Amino acid sequence: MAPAISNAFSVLQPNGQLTVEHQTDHENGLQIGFTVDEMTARVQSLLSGIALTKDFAPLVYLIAHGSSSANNPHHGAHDCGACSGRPGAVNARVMATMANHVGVREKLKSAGIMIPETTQFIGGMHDTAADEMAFYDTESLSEENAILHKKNIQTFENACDLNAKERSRRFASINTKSSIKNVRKAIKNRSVSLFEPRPELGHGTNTLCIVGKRDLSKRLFLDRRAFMNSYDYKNDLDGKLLTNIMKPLGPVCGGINLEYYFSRVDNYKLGAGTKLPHNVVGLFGVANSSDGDLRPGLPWQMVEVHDPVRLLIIVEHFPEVVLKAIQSTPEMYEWFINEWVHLAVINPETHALYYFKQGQFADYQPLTNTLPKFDDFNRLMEEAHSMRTNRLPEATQENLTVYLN
Amino acid sequence: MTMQTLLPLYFIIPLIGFVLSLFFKRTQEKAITNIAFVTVGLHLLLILQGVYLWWQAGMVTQHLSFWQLFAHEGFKFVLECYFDKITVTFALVGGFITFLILVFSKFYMHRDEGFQRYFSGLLLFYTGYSFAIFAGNFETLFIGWEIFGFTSFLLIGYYRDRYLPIKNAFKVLSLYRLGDVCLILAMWMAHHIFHTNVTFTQLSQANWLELFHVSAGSGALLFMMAMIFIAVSIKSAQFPFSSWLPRAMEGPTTSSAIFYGALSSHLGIFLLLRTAPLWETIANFHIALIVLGVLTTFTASMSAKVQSTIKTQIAYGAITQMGLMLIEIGLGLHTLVLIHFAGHAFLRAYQLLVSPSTLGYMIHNQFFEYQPKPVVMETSRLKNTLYLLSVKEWHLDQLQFQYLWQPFKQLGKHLGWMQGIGTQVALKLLLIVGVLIELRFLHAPTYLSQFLPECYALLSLMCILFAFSWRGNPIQAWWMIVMSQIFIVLAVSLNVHVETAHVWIYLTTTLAAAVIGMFCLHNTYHLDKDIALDRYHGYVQERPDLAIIFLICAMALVGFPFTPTFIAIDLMLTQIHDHQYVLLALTGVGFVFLELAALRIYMRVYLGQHKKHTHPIAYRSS
Repeated sequence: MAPAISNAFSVLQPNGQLTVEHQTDHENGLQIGFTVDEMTARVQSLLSGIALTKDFAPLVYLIAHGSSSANNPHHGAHDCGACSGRPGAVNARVMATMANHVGVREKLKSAGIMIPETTQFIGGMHDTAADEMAFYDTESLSEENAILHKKNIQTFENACDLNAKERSRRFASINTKSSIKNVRKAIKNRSVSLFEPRPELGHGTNTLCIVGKRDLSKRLFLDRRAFMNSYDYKNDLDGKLLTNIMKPLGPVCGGINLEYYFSRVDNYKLGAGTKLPHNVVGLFGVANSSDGDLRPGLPWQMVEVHDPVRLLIIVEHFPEVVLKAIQSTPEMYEWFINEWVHLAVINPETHALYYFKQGQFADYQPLTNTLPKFDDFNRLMEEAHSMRTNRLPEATQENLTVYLN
Repeated sequence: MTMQTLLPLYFIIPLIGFVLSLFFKRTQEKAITNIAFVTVGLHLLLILQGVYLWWQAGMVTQHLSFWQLFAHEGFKFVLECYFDKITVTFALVGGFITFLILVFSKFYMHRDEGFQRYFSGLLLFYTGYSFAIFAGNFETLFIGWEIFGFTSFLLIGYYRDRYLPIKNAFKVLSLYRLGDVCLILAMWMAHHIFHTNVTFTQLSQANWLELFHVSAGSGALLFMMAMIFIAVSIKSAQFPFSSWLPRAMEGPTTSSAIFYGALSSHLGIFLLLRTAPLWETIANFHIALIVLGVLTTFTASMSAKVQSTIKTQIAYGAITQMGLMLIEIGLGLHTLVLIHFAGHAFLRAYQLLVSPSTLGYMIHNQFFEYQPKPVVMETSRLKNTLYLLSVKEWHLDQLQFQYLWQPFKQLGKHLGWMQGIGTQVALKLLLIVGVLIELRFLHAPTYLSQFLPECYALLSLMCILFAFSWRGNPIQAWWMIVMSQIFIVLAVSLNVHVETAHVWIYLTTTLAAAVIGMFCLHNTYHLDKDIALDRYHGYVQERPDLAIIFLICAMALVGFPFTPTFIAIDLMLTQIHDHQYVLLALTGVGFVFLELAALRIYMRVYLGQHKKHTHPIAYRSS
């Protein structure tokens, strides 16, 4: 591909070998690879964090995300923030290798996590701009699992189809009503177009972070607003795991949200302004023209659809447990007590709602108890109106309300 | 179609496209882009047909004068087409790159606030380009040249709610204006040497040249050469005018690509090739070109290596190549220059378009194979000096400001007393006296009368310089510009008898523009009772209608092509004899600052950050 195009999958050659386990090598006094104990700790914390400690399916997918872009200095802002603004394929593949490691599995048994021998982990990556997926080390799958994987690929494809359809309604260059094959092709073309200032809209419109069972948000249409964090309170009645889960929510989800928030609130001063005149400076930033200041924040093309509201984190647990969890470390508590993000709690038994205000949880009554319904997802996408102009009051009018299926 | 029917279309089609594009709103993106595609696409097809016909006819130069705008005694103003090897190269490259940029921009500019403004700007640019490329005489070339400069101003200052684009747009415009006036003066000299409006066909005929070399004095010749030389160095950003090109990269990347990467900056090269018959036999001119080329190539290539931003690197790279082109022209390799131009235009357009990708291919994709460059600590005084000079762009920007513009600014500031009521009354009295003398009601003493034109030209220049540096009420500055125009008419008509009709052509447009412009300023003033010229007010956000009307008035007042004022200015210049250097200098300097003073008012009142907080306000330095 042309040098102007950054292909997300190019960071990792599928047939390349990774050194994951530490043997004896050191480089510059640093250890290469992880020891079995280190690997076990990482796998255990991941699995118990998302409450995947029993009833393992034969195949478990670890999907990273990356973004292909062309001619886009803000390309890193679409990639994985936890991977230093790069595609996360390596991480997914390393994690899968760790979880498949025989020694790690042995050690996990003593921690009470029994992974059946037939269960295999697969690392993969979703290219969020081109809506394509790739899977790594699939040749090591057992015969039965290889057949299952083949079936699953189709499921992933369907998901990509729906995702592409949902995203396409925002893109003027794509006719959402055309066949899904054409939409997919157009989405792919966008991600490699030199002239496309909006290859994808990234986290634009993010407002929610749901920490709980996936049942909680089932059949809800959220218009791509939510971060989803699987978590089962039953596994963690004392809230120990919850502390670890909530620790990164502020810096990661809250951080993303505030980046969009401030870039949108004052795009001229806190954001980067329009990206069309941007000039790359010293390979570390952008400025306008030859003698302008470095521009912080995100460009207008990335945030125009974003409603500047602070992130609402919803946790499914008992309020007193959540309070204890967020108060466990001062740097985490600052995010909540200083109201950089909103926090609400759903009592998993009574389904009562609580809202965190001035250091404590208070009952919360929602303004409405009914949601509009939709029957046909395709029709909802095809009939959604689009903005007239991207002026401040008009741009976010194309955002849809919350629907129930 | 025959060549003769084709040639006028090369002017008319882009013009029609531009006018049509004005009738749409930014939300009608499809209509706007379709107009642009059809206009430039059709133009390009017709060029291809023209090339075919021209090739079939044995590549004989074609020319046609198709519209006589004005004729009086020795003075003719005729739109004339010309079609030769140089035209073919520039037209094909220009048409093709413009078409590509339009396709690119359709997606790139989607939903942009100024979508319509941008496409109209590009179409106007293309109109200007076509006029310059297909021009068969200096006047037609000059029309294109002027339109070109004006669209550059509009597209550099495209982001009109920020300070830097406006500032840099004005910086570039000032230099362009200087180049324009040099070209006017070259035209004026040509007119005096040939005693008629010379066409490029006549220029290329050898017997004319012999005549010209024998009859014209060496001073006249030298003057004309020098003017063309300066115009070329400014337009192609040669030493010491290099610093404007990197500063012009303010608009959307696409407009930078087409203007400063591909087409605009090569217009200097074009002018040089076009006027080749004039200087081809003069060895010293060749040497001058080579020296300028070498100097520019050296300074610009050093700057290109150390600049910290990608677009300035590309800009200095482009300047370097154009320096090389000058050397090639100096060596007489005209065909090589055409090939060089074509390749260079495409390369720079592409480089600028993909300039946002540098981060990608320099860092992002090479992370895993990254090898840091070994640090070399070897250094010397000479190296450090060259490095610093290159980083500072050889101080050319500062020097220009200090020695080119600052003196006039200071001079204008010293004229601040002209705002006093006494002076205003005196100016009006002098005006009346001048008119009375011109109408033969009064007779100036003979010792004075021979200096009268110069005196009135000086008054005119004083008024302009006052307006140029006045920081108070713009209505006063505007009024002074109008006065200066009347004074210059007086100066010229006192010089030789001018037909009343000509004065009327000039005055009616000028006065109409003056009155409407005054009306705009007045209305704007009443919004907040403060439009002083000491800062930017950004009223275009509140009253875009007044802003555009005022801009049109300002351009009409200063004689933008397509206003009768333009022909009148041209006409009146020819009335200045070739030995009246003082009068010429006063008028010439006046013309430079006339447009600058008028557009400065437009900029300060209507452009820049809006002072009201109901609009987003950018940092001044962003």
